[in-house]
Amino acid sequence: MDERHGDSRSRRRTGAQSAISPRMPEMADVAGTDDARASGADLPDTTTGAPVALDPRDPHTMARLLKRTPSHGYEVADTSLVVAIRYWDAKNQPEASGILIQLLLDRCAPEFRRRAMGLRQRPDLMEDAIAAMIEQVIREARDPNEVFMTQNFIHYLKCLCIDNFNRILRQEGLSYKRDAQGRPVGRPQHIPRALIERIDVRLDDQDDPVGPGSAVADPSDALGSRMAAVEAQRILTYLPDPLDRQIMVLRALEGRQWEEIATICGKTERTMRLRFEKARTLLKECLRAEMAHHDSANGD
Amino acid sequence: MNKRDTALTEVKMALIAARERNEPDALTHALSQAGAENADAIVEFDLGLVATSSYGDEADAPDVMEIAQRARARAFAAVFSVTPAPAEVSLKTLIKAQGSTLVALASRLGLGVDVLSALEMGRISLKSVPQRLYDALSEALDATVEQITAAVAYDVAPALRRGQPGARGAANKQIDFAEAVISSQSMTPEQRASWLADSAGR
Repeated sequence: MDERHGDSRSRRRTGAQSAISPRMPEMADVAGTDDARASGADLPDTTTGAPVALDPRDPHTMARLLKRTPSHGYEVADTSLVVAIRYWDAKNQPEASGILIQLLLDRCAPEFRRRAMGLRQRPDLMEDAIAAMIEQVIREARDPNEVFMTQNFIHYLKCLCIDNFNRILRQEGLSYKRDAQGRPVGRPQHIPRALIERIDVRLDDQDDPVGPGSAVADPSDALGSRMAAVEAQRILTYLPDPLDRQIMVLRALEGRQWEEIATICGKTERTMRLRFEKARTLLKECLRAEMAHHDSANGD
Repeated sequence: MNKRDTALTEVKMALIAARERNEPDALTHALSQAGAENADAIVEFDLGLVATSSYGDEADAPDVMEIAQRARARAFAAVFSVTPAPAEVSLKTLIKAQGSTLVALASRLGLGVDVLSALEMGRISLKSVPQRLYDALSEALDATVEQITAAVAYDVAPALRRGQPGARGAANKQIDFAEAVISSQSMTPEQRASWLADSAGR
């Protein structure tokens, strides 16, 4: 896989796999979708009755493309823009498709920025992430074999942005790693404060659970929050029993009541408390050993 | 691309939908759908979803806008040998698209209609336009900052852009935003002071 395009390159279906015809979309395709009907993208030609493509070179169409709905959506749906881009590309009309691409990107721009904001302290990485998002949207908007864009554009866009955000983190070594046996490796980069506090506090003192929002080192820092959450997952892999991991997540990270945890896990409350205590002790030992190993490796 | 990757994307999109519906077992369900071999990818994706969901207004900060602009130029250069012409959308088109008028918009912004008209006619220097005006226009016209920036830039020298004869001197006749506000005949002293305070920093 070409890393530059992130995991979301996977959105492309081959013609053989596609449940949707891989041919170039004709405007008849637009007319056949609820989305297009709602968007008015298939207004029939008054003389021929045939559907007419969205032509951004027409001032009236351009006005429609910019018009918002009361719920802050667009009167002409993003999906219809994508179909029109492919239509004009197929007709070898780069001017029309180019304008539509620019309009689509203008619409997507706030989402690109929001999803890359966690990288703001590293402008070079933020630029990389946004450039990759934009490039992928352009390429896939012009690819008639790509199907996710026209299924649900909002979810497609979020998915694409998150994949690219994560790819940048991976490239920078900011995500957690495992060795060949699947064991966690590397020093904790950002241990969640709440998890450590929950591990260090006596069991009897833990009847006032912390909320999920406090399970991270700094809730205002999304990148920190993410790293904390990633690190929590890594640490929890020290617990061999899935039930113990589940108890730890429910109690230490999600802050649920013992009674609730017992119901979810289908065991007694006492069992939950005992298993939590054992898991907590094990995690403390693992983290201490990990820190000591790292310090000795660094000659501290 | 293989079938597994397509299936993984489907699970990710379903996870996004489930998170939007605040389903408590969204992740658990996604993990069961994705299979053990994709568990790490799904957990990573879910964490990315959570981590990138908490930004709102910050994303429109000037430094972020500059980064986004550079990124867009890079992406276009990577895809196209010739960058497509920008959509020719003027401020007037945006106002019309929202069913508003220049007067109504000026009133909403607390800005003189003559100032807004000058902006629309491309007579105000782009460099002097305060960020607050872009933000206010973005909100009032329900448009992205990119759309507003492009529309204002398009308005700056429409005659030049369209190659009309005798338009070369148009750019020289531009005035600063502050000058336009000071000479406005339709603004109260408070409105004037408010906008001048913003443009002073530029």
